[in-house]
Amino acid sequence: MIAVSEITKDLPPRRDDEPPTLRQEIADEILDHLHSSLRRELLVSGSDEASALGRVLDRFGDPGQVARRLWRQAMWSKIMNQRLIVGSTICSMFVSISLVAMTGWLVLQMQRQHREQQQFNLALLEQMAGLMRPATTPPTPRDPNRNNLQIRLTLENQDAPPAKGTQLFVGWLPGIGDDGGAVAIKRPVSIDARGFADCGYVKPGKYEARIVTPWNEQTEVVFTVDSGKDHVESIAIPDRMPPLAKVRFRVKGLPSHHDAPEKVLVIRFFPQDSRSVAGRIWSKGPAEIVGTSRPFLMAVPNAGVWIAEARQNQELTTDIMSGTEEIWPPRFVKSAVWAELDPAQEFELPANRYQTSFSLVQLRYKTDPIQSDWRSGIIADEMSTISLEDYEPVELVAKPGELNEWTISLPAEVAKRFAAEN
Amino acid sequence: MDSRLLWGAVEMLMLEVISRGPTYGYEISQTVGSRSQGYFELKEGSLYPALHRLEEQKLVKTSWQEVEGRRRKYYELTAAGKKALAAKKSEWKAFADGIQGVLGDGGAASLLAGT
Repeated sequence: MIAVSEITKDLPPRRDDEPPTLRQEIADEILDHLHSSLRRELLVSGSDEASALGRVLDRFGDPGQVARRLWRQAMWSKIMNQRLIVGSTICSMFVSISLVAMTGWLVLQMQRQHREQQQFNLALLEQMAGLMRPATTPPTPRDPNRNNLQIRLTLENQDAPPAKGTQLFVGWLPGIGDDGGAVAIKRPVSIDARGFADCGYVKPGKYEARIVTPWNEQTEVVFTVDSGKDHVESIAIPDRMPPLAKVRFRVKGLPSHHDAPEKVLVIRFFPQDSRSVAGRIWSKGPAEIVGTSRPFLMAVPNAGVWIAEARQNQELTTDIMSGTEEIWPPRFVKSAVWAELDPAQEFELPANRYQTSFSLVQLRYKTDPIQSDWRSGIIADEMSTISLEDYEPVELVAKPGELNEWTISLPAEVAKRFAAEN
Repeated sequence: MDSRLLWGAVEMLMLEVISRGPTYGYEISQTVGSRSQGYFELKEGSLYPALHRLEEQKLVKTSWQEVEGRRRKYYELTAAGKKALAAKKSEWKAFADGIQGVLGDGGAASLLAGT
């Protein structure tokens, strides 16, 4: 993530009376905070790493400035003792001259620190993303430790640039496989009219690129920039969105009545087929959920039925089946809780085969103790995980070019458990 | 709010959070923010100079632990810290009672309504 040197590089020169571990400890504490905050931000927001990092730094403040404050605080008594000795000696001989000199020095120091602080902020963000600013010409003289990285995007089977609206995010991948919590901090890189993205001069190592099409299909690519060699990574991307299919839903086998509107049966649809383009899997939704896509949520309150499509930036990014908590944006869930499905309503889904899963969840309104932005967020607790092994999974097909009528018969075991929980 | 009053209150809140068991900077910042219903939403980095001040004053002691390949600094209340916290809470209660005594219930409601 961030190197210790990035936190400490703008601290005053090391002093003889400075504790040997002071700088390292300051950096370790700040880095631990930023790491924890970033992990939480990525989990909660589901946004790209660059945006998440921006919010983390926004909440934390300037890490370099915090480090300087902590260093000065720790060294204050030593610095002040020294300054008092020097100051009193000078003052006894040249009172007025020393006062003028000190004032001027303070003003210059403040100006210098302000400039250094701004430069540090920029360098920190760039270091965390692992990329320098894009440069059209190599630095002079050429830094032997950095090479030019370019990414070329072309449409599948065509020598043409990608569609307008295609997004690219690139980041340095620290120690892949070495650290279970390693995260590539990516930042957006612009794509020119030819389909090239100049990432500037970067250090050797592993990098990860995420490409998002205008219709939100995504993939992630890991590649290596070797030492001493400029690198061009070519990536073929889908040339059009997958076909859509019209679907209407009906659920059979629901219990006739239950008294707890907050306890809902969630039926989710997982696409079975992902697209492969030039050997890479493209999925709709977060690329790390390879082979699946954003599930569509269908839940049953008070024996009524509704469906709510997971929309971009509001999708369920963690799996209820694993028992982890999810935070559903209030607007999304409110529309789900109180809306009733019109049986005649048609929905558009990507044409695919879908497999259903069932789980019982409890919806409750709760202030998220960590993410204060979701003050009125809704936490969904897993009440009962109904394993896919307990019943035959229901498979449904959404064919393009026709209206697909889905009748979902609730498996007996699921209906029995739903009734028992209520 | 007056910054001196603010920081006096924040230090007390930090001691209170630490008094519940060994904890670390990020957790302290999140707990103070959330339990105060978002009232004390400070720049997270600004808590660290305050934490280090508490350490210099020997109101908290610290230790380092290895967590997921990183070093994490844990804070724990000392005996002096417990006394200081009790004193600060007592002082705050007296302050709040004093305010309440002057404003009364109606005064407090008017204050909240901005009238």
